[in-house]
This record gives sequence, C-alpha cells and structure tokens, in this order.
Amino acid sequence: MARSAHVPARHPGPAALRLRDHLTQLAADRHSILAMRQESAAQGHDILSDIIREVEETVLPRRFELVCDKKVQARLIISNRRLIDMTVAGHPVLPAGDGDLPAETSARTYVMALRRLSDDHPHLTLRLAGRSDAVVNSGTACSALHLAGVAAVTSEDNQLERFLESLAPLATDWIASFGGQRKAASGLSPDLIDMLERIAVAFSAHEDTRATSSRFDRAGPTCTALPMCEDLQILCARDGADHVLIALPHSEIHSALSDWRKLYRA
Amino acid sequence: MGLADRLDEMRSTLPGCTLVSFGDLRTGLALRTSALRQYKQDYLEGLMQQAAQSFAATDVITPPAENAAGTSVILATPDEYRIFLRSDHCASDVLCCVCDEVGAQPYAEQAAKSIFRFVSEGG
Repeated sequence: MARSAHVPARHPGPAALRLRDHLTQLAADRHSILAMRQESAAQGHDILSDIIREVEETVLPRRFELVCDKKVQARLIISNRRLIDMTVAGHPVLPAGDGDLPAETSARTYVMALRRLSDDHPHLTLRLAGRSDAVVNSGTACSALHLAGVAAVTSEDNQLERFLESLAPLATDWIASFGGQRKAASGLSPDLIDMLERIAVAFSAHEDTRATSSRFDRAGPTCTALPMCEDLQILCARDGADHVLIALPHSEIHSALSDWRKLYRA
Repeated sequence: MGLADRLDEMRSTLPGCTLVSFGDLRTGLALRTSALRQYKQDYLEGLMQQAAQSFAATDVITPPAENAAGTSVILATPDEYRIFLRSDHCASDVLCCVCDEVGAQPYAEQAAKSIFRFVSEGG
C-alpha cells in the first residue's frame, strides 16, 4: 500500500510569495491586469517599488522606460541586478565615468530623482523597452538592496523638514524652501530674512556659474555651518532644490551637524 | 620642515582625518595634499570649489575685511565632514580637511594658523 508523505505546512517566504504573485499575474486576463494597474496608479502606487523589484529580478542588460501620458519621462538601464544608468529628459542623473562613487550615494541620487519624477508625474508606469548592450559601470551602479535602504529611510517624509522640525525650537531664526514653497520662522526681522536669503542665493549662484557639473557636485545632500558672530552660526542644509537656513547658538552647531548626518546615514 | 611635512603632521594630529589639502581659492587648484589614500584630482578640485562656495556665502554674513583670523566652515555630507579654513594672511589660501569626526574643527583651526603663517612667510 502506497504511503503518502506528510509535509508540514510552512509559512511561504518572500520569494515564494513573489512567485505566487507572478503566476497569478500570468494567469490573469489582460483586462484584469490593466484594471489592477490603473487602480494602483490611482492609489498613488509607489513606482520606486516596481523599479526595485525589476532591479532585483533583472540579470541580463535591459532598458526600461518610465512613462506618463504616453510620454517617456525617464529611461533606466538595469543589468546584473544593478541599476546602472538613469536619464531624465535625456540628461544622465549620474554622469558616466570611471569614478568610484559609493553605491549608497548612487542609490540616494537615483531615489531622489525618482521621487521628484514621481511627484511631478503621479501616474508613472514602468515598461520594458528592450535589450541593452550596456555593461555594468561600478561608478554609478547600485543594487536593489541599496535602493530599498535609501527608499525606506526617505519614505516617511522629507528628511530636511524633519531636520528643521527638530532644530526649530533651538533656532534663533530660520528660513526654508521645500518644493519651491518658501517658509520662515514667525516674527523674523526683515534684515535677518534678507541676509538668510542672500546666503541662499550665494550658494545657488555659485553652483550656476560652475562650468561643469561634476560627479562631486551631485554627490548628494550637504549641511554647512557658516560663522556669523561669536555666539551664533548659520546652518545651511541643502537637499536637491530644497534648503533650510537656521541661525543657531554656536554651542548647538556640532550636535546639529551630527544629527543631520545620522538622519541621512540611517 | 616643508609644507608637505606640515600637512602630514596636521593630518596625523586631527581626529579621524584622512586628507588635508592646501589650495588656492581663486584658481580652485589643490596645490599640495596629504592623504591616507589616493584621491582623484576631480575630488580635490571639487573640495576647492565647495570651499569657494562656502566662503562666498560666509562673505555675505561678514565682509572679508572683517572676517576674523582663521575663518573656518564645516560641511557635512552623509559620508564625511569637510572643514575649510581660510588664511587671514592671504584670502585665497585655503586648507581643506576631510574627517569623520565633527570635533576635529577646533584642532584644525589651531593647526591651520601655523601653516598659513609658514606659507605667508614664503615657506
């Protein structure tokens, strides 16, 4: 008499769940798939998750496009489970070269660019555009793990806003710009606003006059402590187009810089 | 003791310091560097550009003529701290230090004084 083997029920792992999702998708008809995609887009589905999943699963070099309203907004090249290149409106997010940019820095830059793109085009979809003959460039490549790490840290809200919130109670004065929206501490004197604005302009103007936009300049967010007077310093934190300028007591500067670094390294 | 030796000495005394570079803010050139490992020229020039940018912003707060000796700026990136020090003898002389400890700044200010003095005296 044949005996049947008893296999104890096990909780499926992430790989098994992903496989089940793929099989379900393969079995579904075209209308159901389209409906699912439209629904997820309408719910503000995070395109970053799709990209991270493709990076994790793509071994051979492939080109992908991010599309919104039938228009290609960005192009990606994924190979060997690495995101190796991304261009937005024809411009590379990270310049190709022979550099040694850390994968975390590349991932941070890619994630920031993808978030900006996603903010500008909430209904972005990812589509496969074909094979690529690109080779992995370690200078700009990063894995799904790096992307997911950066995405997890930055997913809750704007780090710079969190930084400002944590320091505002200690700050003498502050101004900020998030997504082009300017903010300032209440009761700020016009003279101080004027000075902080001129500092922000000095930073931007210097960047605009640079002949070349090197890899160094794109290496991510910075936080600079500028001397002001014996008791006060100006902290200028910049992340892409967003910036915060805070007048802080001298004694708080080093701990504020450490806190900023913890926030961006987490 | 020449400039190279003084830069080596400064790097070895600063906590968590991996690079000290002496440069010119006007030309953006790194003229002499002491480093624990090889840095690309792009990186060194990037440091000089960032120093120039930081001091341009500093000059908005306090005009250069009124800046006290040993004006220094500290810039944090997620990976490192960069300390920029400008000479009060010659406004284009700059020292850039790369450290992993924020507490290195006062030590860098102290060490920079003697190097700027040495350079201004024709060293």
